[in-house]
Amino acid sequence: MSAVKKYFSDIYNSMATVLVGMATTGRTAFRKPVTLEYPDVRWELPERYRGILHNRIEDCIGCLACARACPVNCIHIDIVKRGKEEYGVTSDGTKITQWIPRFDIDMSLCMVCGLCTEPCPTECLTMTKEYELAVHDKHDMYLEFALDRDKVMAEKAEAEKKAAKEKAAREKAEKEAAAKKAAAEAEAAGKEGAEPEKPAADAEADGKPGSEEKKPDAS
Amino acid sequence: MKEWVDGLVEGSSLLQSLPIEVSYFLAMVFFSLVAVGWMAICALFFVWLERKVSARIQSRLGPVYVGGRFGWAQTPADALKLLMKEDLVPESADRLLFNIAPAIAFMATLLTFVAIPIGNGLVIADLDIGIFFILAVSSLGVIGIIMGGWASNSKWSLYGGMRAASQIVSYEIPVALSLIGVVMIAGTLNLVEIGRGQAGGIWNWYLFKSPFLFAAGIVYFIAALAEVNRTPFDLPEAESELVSGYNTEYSGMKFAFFFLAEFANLFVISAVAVVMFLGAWNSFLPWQILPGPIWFLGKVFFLVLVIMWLRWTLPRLRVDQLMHTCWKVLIPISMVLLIGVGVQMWLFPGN
Ligand code: SF4
Ligand code: SF4
Repeated sequence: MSAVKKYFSDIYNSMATVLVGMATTGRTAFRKPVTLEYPDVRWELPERYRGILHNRIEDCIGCLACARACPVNCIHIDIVKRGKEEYGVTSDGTKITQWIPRFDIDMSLCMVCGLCTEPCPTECLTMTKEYELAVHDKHDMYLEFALDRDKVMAEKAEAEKKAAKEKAAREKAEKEAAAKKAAAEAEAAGKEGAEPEKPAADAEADGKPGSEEKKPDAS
Repeated sequence: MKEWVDGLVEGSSLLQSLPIEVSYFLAMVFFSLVAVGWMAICALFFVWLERKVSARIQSRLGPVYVGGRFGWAQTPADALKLLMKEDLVPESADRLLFNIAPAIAFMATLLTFVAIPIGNGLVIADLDIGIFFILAVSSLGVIGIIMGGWASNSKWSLYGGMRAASQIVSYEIPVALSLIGVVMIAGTLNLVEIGRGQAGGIWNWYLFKSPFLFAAGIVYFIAALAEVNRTPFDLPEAESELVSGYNTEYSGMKFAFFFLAEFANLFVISAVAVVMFLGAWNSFLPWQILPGPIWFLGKVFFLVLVIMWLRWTLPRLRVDQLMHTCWKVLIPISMVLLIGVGVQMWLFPGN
């Protein structure tokens, strides 16, 4: 008897549970889609998202802390000390004392753990929100950040030299103008016939501060 | 359609000048092309619908890009892709059987299309043994499946083929038994006559004519799902167990044929259910408001939707559960229902 009962209750149960299941899927069918139309609509990424690495190399002081922190050793840095030569300062005022001819990160090895960004003293090594890491050529995974610092320094020196030259030229022109003026004044004074030498020397001595005051106007 | 062809031949001097065999041959070619086109349209539409329905049930969007709105051109694009793909034949496969298997599976489905009436008298071949023809021909498809499974010479394909054989042969029986009840009441095997017998309101549909036929309709629906390998009875192609079952080794156009036949079968089983149980092209009111084909296609569309809904709801049965369902549940029940219909006809003759 119980076998017969089980037979019919099994049939009843199977039909009933199919209906329950269909009710569930029917409900989800009218839910708002949970997916995004990816290339058009993108995630709102969280503030501390760990994407591909980026180094603001101008601020890097080559301390190697990041390379030491990396568990998979995929940061390769070369540094060259050049005595007391100064390479400028970072944006937070730290002195850069060494040249960094090579700062490479092999993103194909990187596991995007973020451990390298934590010890960075100048906070120049950061993780971006860029998460589309696929490339066509695996060499594109090899990021090279190093600046040609010699060239940068040469450019900087060049620019400084040029500025100094310009300044010198301007000062010379101003000096000449002042001298001319002084001479004219002296001539006028000479016509009046009172002490021709000394006022001219005064004018020349006063010329320098005078020209400096004029400088904002000139530039 | 025979009358149409006769009328056409009589009305056109060009056709009359040809021998009668030639004009009938031309008509045959034309109507088989109509059937192929109709089948392809159905299959492409159902594939798209399946993707949309499954996406919505899983709270996704489904195809949205191709063709602008709703991704309607996704399936034509996929079909084009399949047709242009390289046609691979495994080295150790039985080339002849491997090549004709998809054609047989496709043909079995295509042949059923010629016997399904879309509207009142709107059928390519108005056969007096319509439902018998459909049952006979649609079970030929399993030969294509077994052939494909065997000829691929791969264990997954072979398992799929064997499963298809055992499953489809078993489920033929409840399908036939549940349809015989309708045939007894209607007194004809002709699908058009069966459709005409259900005119005049929803209470004349055979599904609601008798409680036994209502149950028979449900039995038919379940067994028909198993016959066309739809989830929860998709063991022949259980992708989590058998890679892809009998069509694992197929690619390109031949795979497309299997795929097309599978989705066109959806139309066939729904159309048979509609003709036999759901009043064919008749509206549920005593008077016909819209043209018959619209009612017919609407009902078929609804049933296909339910089949897809089931597919994305239920998990797959185990093989022993499958056999249990057929031999211990569906077949006894359909036999009891058949006797019930007979008793009802004996007690209330003329109803
Ligand atoms: S994110 Fe992790 S793995 Fe990648 S470079 Fe930094 S420390 Fe190394
Ligand atoms: S830790 Fe920061 S400052 Fe130091 S080498 Fe790495 S990136 Fe440069």
